[in-house]
Amino acid sequence: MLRAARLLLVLILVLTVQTTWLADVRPFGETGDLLLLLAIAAGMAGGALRGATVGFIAGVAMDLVLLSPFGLSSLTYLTVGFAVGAVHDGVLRSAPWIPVLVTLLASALGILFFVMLGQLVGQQFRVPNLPRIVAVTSVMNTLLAFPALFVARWIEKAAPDRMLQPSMRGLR
Amino acid sequence: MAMTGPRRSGRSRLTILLLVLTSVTVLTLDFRGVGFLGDARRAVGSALSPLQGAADFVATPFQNTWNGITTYGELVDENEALRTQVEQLEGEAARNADVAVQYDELVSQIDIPWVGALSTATARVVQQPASSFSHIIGIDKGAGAGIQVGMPVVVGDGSGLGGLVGRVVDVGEGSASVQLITDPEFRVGVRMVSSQRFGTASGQGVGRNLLIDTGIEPGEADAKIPSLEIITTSGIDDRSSFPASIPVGKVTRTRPANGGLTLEVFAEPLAKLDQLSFVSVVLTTPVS
Repeated sequence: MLRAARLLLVLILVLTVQTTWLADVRPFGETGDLLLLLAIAAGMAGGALRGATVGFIAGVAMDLVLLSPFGLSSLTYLTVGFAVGAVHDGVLRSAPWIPVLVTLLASALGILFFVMLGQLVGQQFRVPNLPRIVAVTSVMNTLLAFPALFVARWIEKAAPDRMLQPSMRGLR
Repeated sequence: MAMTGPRRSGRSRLTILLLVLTSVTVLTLDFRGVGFLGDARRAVGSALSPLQGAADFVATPFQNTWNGITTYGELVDENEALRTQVEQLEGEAARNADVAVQYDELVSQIDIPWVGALSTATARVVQQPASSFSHIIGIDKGAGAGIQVGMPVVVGDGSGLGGLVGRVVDVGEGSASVQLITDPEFRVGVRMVSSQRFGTASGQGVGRNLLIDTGIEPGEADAKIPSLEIITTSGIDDRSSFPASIPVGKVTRTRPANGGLTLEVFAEPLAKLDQLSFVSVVLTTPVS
């Protein structure tokens, strides 16, 4: 219950920041994607299932503020959250650069996956803009990787012990 | 205890499968135009509105400082350009009366009936596009101000021209969403003012010129399109969703396309879409 409350609070704050401050900060005309970052961080902090669940919820939240096809963001973010959780569970976690690298790659792949899914359902994207969008969003998300991971761990710490990943139990 | 791992793993797979199925189902429902999704979007927009207002209030001083730092060079250049412009304008003051007459004639010649002829609702832009793939802005007027889906949205540029910003795509009681003309899904019928050619303009993304499919063959005798030619909405028949002669852009370049069979025209939008604070919704009856 506490974990859900924390997640809801974080979602509202992130959504507000995404639609206000971040929408105004547009290097090269593009912006970061904090909801995608939240899914990635949840995958790193809580594993594949948590990454997928938080990714789905974050995606629904994003779908509610965009006018793109409803479900496109949720499907993308849950896939990214799941993939990050699955991959991250299988690698050494001690190296501090791993979250940075994972965020950079997952953000880039997440955007490409979003575009690919969008094309499948008839959305039109302009390919010439894509490298710029991928670069700006990935870099902005990567700059925020550690704060996002901190927040994701804070949410996960509210879970009962039996639900935590083994790596999280020592963080209490 | 030995069953815990496989059981949890099975439950995890089931949860993820349900989430995927839910996303796909919602996606399908959206394509079928199920109404409650639009209502949910409007409800969330209304709920977030106070928070967004508060966030904007907090961020404004920082944004101004940031803009001052990051655009200092541009401000210096702009200041210099403005000084030059002021000097030119002072020199031309004596000719202002004549210019005004000429301007009136120009307006009548290029036929912009929406200037002063149609009623508009002025609205503040309260939300910029929320992601790099979004070309939707939010405004603070909605159905209560007579705004309906499909109405054109315009903005002035201080020189009396301005241009088309986009189209209303969603309306709540006190807010609306506007699809910008840079959206790759945006289409509008256009007319080139001096050559009287018609075509369809489509968005090409942020910071990119509009692409106009004219159907002109490069070999045609009058295929040459003057640079900087103004294009306006065509309003060519009853199916056109916009009234005629709303300025849209100015031609920047042309190029042969489709193996040299047709001519593609690129046009820079007249509306400065990255500097929108207020816009006007033209209260025409949209064509369904």
